[in-house]
Amino acid sequence: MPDPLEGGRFERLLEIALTELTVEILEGFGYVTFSQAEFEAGTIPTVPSGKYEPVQVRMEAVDKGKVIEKNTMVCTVAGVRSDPLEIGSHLSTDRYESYVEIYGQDRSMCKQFRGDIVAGLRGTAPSIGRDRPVIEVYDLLAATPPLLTTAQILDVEADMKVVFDSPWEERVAQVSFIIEVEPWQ
Amino acid sequence: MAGPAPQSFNETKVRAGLRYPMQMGMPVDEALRPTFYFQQPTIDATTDPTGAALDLNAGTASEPEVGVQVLCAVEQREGESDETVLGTFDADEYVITVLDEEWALISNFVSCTLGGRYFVRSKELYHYGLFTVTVFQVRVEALDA
Repeated sequence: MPDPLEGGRFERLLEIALTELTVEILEGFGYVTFSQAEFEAGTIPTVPSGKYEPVQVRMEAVDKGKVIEKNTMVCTVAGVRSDPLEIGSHLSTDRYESYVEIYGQDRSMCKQFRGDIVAGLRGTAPSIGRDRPVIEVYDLLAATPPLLTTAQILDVEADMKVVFDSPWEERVAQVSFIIEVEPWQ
Repeated sequence: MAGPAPQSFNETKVRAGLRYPMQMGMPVDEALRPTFYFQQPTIDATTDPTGAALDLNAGTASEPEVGVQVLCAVEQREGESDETVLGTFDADEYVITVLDEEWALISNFVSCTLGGRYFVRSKELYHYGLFTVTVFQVRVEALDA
């Protein structure tokens, strides 16, 4: 049985962990969320106050030709760069370039999502239990998933256009950050 | 340019003639027909300057949007596609043409649905005159794929 910390499976587990963390942050801030699977099954929850559309958190882009619903987010681990720690061993610090892309129902909502996600990732939202910039990755293949690693979240940056070529652009924001995995964590 | 209508100009017949192809082009399913929506009154106690509620979970909800359907012609002008991490945004544009009597009912619209897709008002185009009949045109842009 290969070590789940090695190879591509870890990257997939990391992306799942990022998606779950995003949902945890959003629900901590009181939003109603639903998954890509629930969207495809048509089981979309309703928001009691009716003031916003429920938030869909996905791991992949909406299929071409399909409508991108308001309040959709996509969590992506795009690439990795490994920095060797010492000569003669294969220990390295892996830095995963990661993104949460946001399409809000309007610009105000988009800004609010962006701010909430940034606070949650940076660990500056103790009221919802996010007081450290970390992400926990579990081995989901096990019946009781053990914690594989607790990685650091670094360099959280948020971006939103201020000049728009198309009306949808004013409702899009991107949060980019690095997930740093040390071999001893 | 419109001028004084000659005696031979039959306004009723002209209006009926213009509305006939509009009627023909309307989708059979009423839900897919062009539906126009207006600025919603803000009834939340705490809002930002754009009218968006600051407290999303408390207080009163916005009034449900009521759409208005009128007879119009819809012309598609395909826009550019933008690939993003979220998916593909197709910035399609449509030009909506209505006669003055229908325009009076929808002149303040801010968004509309065409075939179930959501569009926002982009630009009011030149108003054509047909003697005593005015033809209004407005461009709308897609917000989603």
